[in-house]
Amino acid sequence: VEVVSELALYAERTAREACSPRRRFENLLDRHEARLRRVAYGMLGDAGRVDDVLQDAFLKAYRKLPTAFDSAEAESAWLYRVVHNCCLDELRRRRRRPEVLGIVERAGYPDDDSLVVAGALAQLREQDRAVVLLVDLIGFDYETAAAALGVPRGTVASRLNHARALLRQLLA
Amino acid sequence: MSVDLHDLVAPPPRPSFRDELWERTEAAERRAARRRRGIALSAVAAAVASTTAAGVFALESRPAFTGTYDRTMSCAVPIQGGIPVARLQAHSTYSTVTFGTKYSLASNAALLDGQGNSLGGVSGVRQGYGFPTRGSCKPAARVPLAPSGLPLYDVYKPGDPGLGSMDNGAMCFVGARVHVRVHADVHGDRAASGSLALWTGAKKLRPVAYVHWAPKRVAVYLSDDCHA
Repeated sequence: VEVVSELALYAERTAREACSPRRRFENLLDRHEARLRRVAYGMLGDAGRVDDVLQDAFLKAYRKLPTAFDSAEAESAWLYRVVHNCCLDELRRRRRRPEVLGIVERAGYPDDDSLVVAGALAQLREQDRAVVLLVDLIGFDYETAAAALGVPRGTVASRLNHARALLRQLLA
Repeated sequence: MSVDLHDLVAPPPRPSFRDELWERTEAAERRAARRRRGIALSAVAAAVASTTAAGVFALESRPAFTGTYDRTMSCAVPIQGGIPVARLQAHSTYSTVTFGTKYSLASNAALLDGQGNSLGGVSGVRQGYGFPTRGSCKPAARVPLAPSGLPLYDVYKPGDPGLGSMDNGAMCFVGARVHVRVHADVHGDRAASGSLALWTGAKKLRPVAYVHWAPKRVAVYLSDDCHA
């Protein structure tokens, strides 16, 4: 039985994809887009803005795509950081233009539970929301979440603690 | 039945999402290509200027000086691609031939923001050290003038293109403000050697890049925040 390490598979995949930046980026999106979409929706709480914000983020990510990543975690952290920053930009824009303040939209939404969760997330502070989405929803470890958010590991832990407690109360 | 975080369902993408993305990407690439052509022409002009007179940076204008220049500034960094980005150029003397004409680039270690504005540097041309006289930089407490644990990325000697002579240099993801320290041993208004340190961080500063510069040897130390 041939044993192939995850690292070797990752190295092989990145080497294969290196020939075309567009192909490489498509593959990157295939791996991450669904989860990034959930994170962006959780951050924004506005289903109508998710596509536009993700497009801006992907465009920026494609233009700045590094030639290689040290690991799968580094790749995830980098991409989530770009998306996270674009979400923060969008939230800042909303604050400057209160007439478009985000409300949780029902359009295209079959799932009421999802609206309840989005509403609860909207009541968390932005930094707490980001941590709980990356760790509890997406499954990042503390180090990867810390790299994605550009904060120390201890900050991730304390924010997560705070966010979990508040979210439990809100969803109870 | 209780609701939890995993009940969060993302909205589906609109059907044309990827097509729109690639259309926008191609349009952006066309714009960037046009911009690059313009920059290439400017770079040739800058290269000519660097071989003749007072420097490639729009830095402080000073009377002739011999001694040690040492200053730390805190500079705002605009967001690029969703993240504040600082670009590091670092190379020794480098020559290139464009349309049959040879141009020479001076040895250089410089930081720029994502929009190409100087954040300080040290180079081999006269008065080619220091910070821009205009801009968002203000004096700050000193940061260490040492690699501070950063790994050595590369050492560039004359003839090596290095970072920033034939490309955009190393892109470093930083915070909204950076602390930049420029140190130069100056003889007759020209730096004989020097160092450039880049630190960032909201509450606690951390090292991002460090360059030990001499006209014929440029050693670059980079953190994981930098991609070349």
